[in-house]
Amino acid sequence: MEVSLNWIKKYVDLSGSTDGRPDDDRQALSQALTSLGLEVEGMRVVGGLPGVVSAEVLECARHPEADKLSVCQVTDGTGTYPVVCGAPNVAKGQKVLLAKVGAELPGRAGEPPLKIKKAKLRGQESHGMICAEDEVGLGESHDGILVLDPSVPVGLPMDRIPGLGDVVFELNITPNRPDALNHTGVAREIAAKLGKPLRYPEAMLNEEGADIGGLVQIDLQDIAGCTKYVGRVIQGVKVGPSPDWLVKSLKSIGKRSINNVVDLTNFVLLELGQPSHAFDLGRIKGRKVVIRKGRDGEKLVTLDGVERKITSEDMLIADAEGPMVLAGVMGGKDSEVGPETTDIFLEVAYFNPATVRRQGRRHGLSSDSSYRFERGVDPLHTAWVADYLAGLIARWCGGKVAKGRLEKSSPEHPTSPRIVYLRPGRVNKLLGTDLRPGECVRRLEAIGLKLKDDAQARGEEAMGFAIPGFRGDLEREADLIEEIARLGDYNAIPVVLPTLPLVSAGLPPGESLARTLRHHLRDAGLNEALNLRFSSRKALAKLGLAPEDPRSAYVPLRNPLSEEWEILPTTTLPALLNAAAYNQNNQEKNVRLFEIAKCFYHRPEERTDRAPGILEEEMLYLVLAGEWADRRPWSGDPATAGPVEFHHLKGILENLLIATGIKSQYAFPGSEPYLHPVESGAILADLAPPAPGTEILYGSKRAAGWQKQARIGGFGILHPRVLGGFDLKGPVLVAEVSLSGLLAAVPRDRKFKAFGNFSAVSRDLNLLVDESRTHGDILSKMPVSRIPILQEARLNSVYRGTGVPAGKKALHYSFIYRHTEKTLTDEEVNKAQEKLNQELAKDPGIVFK
Amino acid sequence: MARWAERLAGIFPWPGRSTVKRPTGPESSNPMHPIEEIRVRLDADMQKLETLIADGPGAGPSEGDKALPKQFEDLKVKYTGKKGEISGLLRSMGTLAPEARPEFGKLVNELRDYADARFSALQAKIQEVEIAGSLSGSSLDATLPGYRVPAGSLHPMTQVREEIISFFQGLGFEMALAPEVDNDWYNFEALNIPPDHPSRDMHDTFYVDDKVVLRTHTSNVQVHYMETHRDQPIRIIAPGFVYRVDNDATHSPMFQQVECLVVDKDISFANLKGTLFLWAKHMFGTETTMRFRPSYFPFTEPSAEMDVSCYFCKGSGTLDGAGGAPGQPCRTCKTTGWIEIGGCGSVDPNVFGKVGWDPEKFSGFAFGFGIDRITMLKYGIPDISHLTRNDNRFLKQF
Ligand SMILES: [Zn+2]
Repeated sequence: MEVSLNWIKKYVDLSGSTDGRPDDDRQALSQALTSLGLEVEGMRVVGGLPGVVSAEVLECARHPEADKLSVCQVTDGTGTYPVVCGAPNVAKGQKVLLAKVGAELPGRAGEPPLKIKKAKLRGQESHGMICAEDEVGLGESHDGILVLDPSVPVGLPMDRIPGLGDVVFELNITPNRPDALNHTGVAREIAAKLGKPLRYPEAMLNEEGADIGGLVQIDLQDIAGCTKYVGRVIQGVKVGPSPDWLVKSLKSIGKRSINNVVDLTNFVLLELGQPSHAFDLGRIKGRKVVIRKGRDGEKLVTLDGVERKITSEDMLIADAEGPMVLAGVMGGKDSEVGPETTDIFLEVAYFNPATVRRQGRRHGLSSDSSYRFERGVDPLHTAWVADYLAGLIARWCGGKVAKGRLEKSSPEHPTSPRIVYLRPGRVNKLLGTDLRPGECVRRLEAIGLKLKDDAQARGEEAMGFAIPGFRGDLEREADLIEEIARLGDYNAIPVVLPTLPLVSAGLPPGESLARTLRHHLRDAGLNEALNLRFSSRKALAKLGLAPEDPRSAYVPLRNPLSEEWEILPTTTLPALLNAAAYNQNNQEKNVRLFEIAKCFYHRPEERTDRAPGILEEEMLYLVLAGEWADRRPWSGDPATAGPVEFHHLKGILENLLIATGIKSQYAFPGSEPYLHPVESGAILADLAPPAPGTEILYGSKRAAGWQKQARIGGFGILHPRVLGGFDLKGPVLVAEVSLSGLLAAVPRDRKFKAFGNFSAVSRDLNLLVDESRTHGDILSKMPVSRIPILQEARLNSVYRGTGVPAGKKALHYSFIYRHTEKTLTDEEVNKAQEKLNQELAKDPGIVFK
Repeated sequence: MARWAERLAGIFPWPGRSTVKRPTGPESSNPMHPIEEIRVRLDADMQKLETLIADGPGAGPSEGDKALPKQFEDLKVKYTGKKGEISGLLRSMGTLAPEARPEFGKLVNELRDYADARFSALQAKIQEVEIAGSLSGSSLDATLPGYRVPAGSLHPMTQVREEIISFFQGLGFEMALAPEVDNDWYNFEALNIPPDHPSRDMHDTFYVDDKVVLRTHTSNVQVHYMETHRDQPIRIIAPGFVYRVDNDATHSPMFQQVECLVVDKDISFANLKGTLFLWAKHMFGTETTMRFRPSYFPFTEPSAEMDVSCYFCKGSGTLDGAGGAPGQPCRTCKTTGWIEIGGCGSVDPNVFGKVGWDPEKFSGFAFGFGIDRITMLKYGIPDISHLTRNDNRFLKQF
């Protein structure tokens, strides 16, 4: 909300304020407002132009070569400048506005800005310009220069010259403070802060017109939506342009003048915070004002020219024939006050905040009125405002106020201030302060509360305060305590650490695991990514998931920001692949991203009153592209460079599983539709038996019960089709692993395994096999588990080339034998190796070399 | 030397072969005893080798240096080898009178010890020379880039998040979590934000449906936690992502907050300030100044905003001192000199009521702040979209 400093000054005297600040110390005022909780978000100087100052004309002589020009000597207090002026009204001794050299003037309508430079006008030096109204944006007049009041000191920047400049504060008023949505409300806060009185306006009313009862009737039907309705009539009004002060007041905070009647209702709204509505009485059919619910099928063209379909949920101000106003939100075109209006029906009401809010939302409308009604206006002030505004209209628009006012209200409508009790001991306990009860009373009374029931004087703890109507937010003791803290400045409250018992503060297991993974992957050379948790059907479709895949059960948003962000992600893969493509397009070819991201799965069957029926699961994603090892760019060693391979990714996952102590196996190929049908795999983890009572989750599925092994992830080369879908250059490797799956597989204990101190013996073997045979296949032929002393069967190399026939490959294995309690003899090792060889020899496809 | 001579004199006459004269001294006219003679010769041979070593210090291995190890070994064998001269002395002991033999044996052993000591000292010197030679021969280009394991990184927000959690963990705060997609009850109603209340305007909410929202703040954890930990002291820290319908240079539709909640019998607003001050000094350094100003959150009363002095302009509002042009306004703090860090306040009695706690018995405070904002401050990141664009050039910096 915007407030004008000039306007505020009508209600509180800012001169020589108690803490010695000058009245124009805008910075200090701004800080004071913020410290009161009326946050100043911006401050706008109005009516000022850099380089334009007040000045005095010291000399004024006719230009020797031009009749219409004068040559003046003008001073701004610091220097005296020659200025050639063409205005007929310039004269010696005048206080004027001087645009100094360097100043930039906005220019008249339709003209470019004017930059003031040193110039020579018909041979006479001119170092500046004496300004007319229209040249400095103050008005239309170009009849002559603007002459200031003789009392104005020279050298004042334009915005500080009384009557010209103003400061507009942009306040961020929180929803609990509708009382501060107007100038008197803000002035009240400043007055309280400075310890000054508030000069509240007074109603001046002469009821000289006819008796209102014969002019119009009010029928309040919707007493839930409108708890108080007050009407007044002003007869014989002349609708026309507003007086200057009114135009200026509205203009200062950027409001357009419409006509004197409408401007006055707007003025009162901005002054007091109470919206009102002026009807053309002549257009109220049947002279009957009905506050009622709408009827389906009714229509109303509102002031913005839009035809609104009325429903039975709407609250209307209607006449005998139909709707006139969408109550509290916006008036209708038909009953609008216009130039031909003579009699005015004035409405001042209290509308139910929630009713107005729903009404505005339903029609997509928000107005200055609805904004205030939905936050709550002063319920005790309605009739007074009607009197005040009627008096203003009669004064500034002519006409006579009809005798009496029409008032209808619901029995629910408050008629006296609420009393709220405060225990001073509670104040200090909750704030940690040491305030005396008298100080609490002083602070609360400064903002309009009244100590009504000084029970404390009777020896009771609590004090009762009457809450003014404009502070509907003060309902409980806690609210008063907040006011006491606020008015005393939060920064004055002591800073005290709480005294609390020592406790052991652990991390949830999921957090610990996620940390282990993050740090491990960081050390493995991957960069942690973070994606917005929004996705789209289109992006998801690129992965080609089956409809029955849990990742196809996404949750759409009702109000997405864009089409790309229309659903919650069931996988972050599309986002990461987009990030990879983004990097590739930015010459960042080597992509090594990982992310632990939350994914959301629609589980309607789990919906309850409180549970949203959405499963949130954390998933780990890896995306690799480009060269794996860019670490030896200059070594010339081909082994250290080259595109990322399947086994790079597999190695990262293997290490990751080792780091977490998880026992796992792989299944090849994997089954993810977005992966290469051959060059992919699935991770099968041995699940740790769960602790009793814990829920078992993995891979986005809630498991029926504990099982020994579960598929917790997949990895491999991205399918070429998906690669193309994301405009990626391949190969790209991806992995997707369930964190809850990993968590279920992390063993609760890790135990030391004895290794013995006896030396190991190794035997080597060269096997010649068909290209189609895999290492895993050959390994499975070795009776590894039946030879206890065999510690490791290690693949040393896969060789193709000289000495190996085409279509074949040579696998070189080393077998490491070791006994934990003794040194092995050659015979023992030979015997074991022989057993292994015999097993391998059973396979006709394996040839010993 | 004198003692040697005395002790040698005790076993004279030696049926010796020596014709070497003593170089100097009173006994110079006498032929030397063979033990002494070997010793004098050993000294002379050693000195020759040592001179060779001293010849070219630091000038790289000379021809002499290269021959040194061989000469050294020859000399060592000559004197202390199994068939060397010192052993020869022992072998000749039989020619001595039996009563002279023990003393003679002792003297020969002393000579051996002496020789061993000289040889090992010389060997150490020769090794030094060899090492020096090998070091100066290096042609390594130490300025080439190192062989590196690809450098990984943690997202800056992860780092800040972990730092914040660690800090509060150290104060005894337990980490708690709550859903990101939640029922209206947890995100709004139980937090004293009824439907059709203007305070809902403070939350530009993403809706799944009428009852289900993307949480707009981490405060939903307060409700979840208090509902499940009734009537007991609470001290929790809850980090997590939250969502608002908002997208510009300083607002992302998804951002990360961290929420703290402390509830006990005697918790005051002063305690809130104490805890936040402690944290702010840890996070932003002791020179950072802080201020609290009144605000409004339906679930706290009193409510406050906490500001810290702007990191970019050091609270001045202009970038004069931070490498900017004179008077250049600071965009980070919109020239106010302050950065909003988060909201806080004492737990509103209505919230206690909603979760079934007695506000007369318990009081508490809660605060929440944006990890994004703190991350941007800490690293000077100008635009929030960097945090989720996943540009390698960004990620690799952390
Ligand atoms: Zn700044």
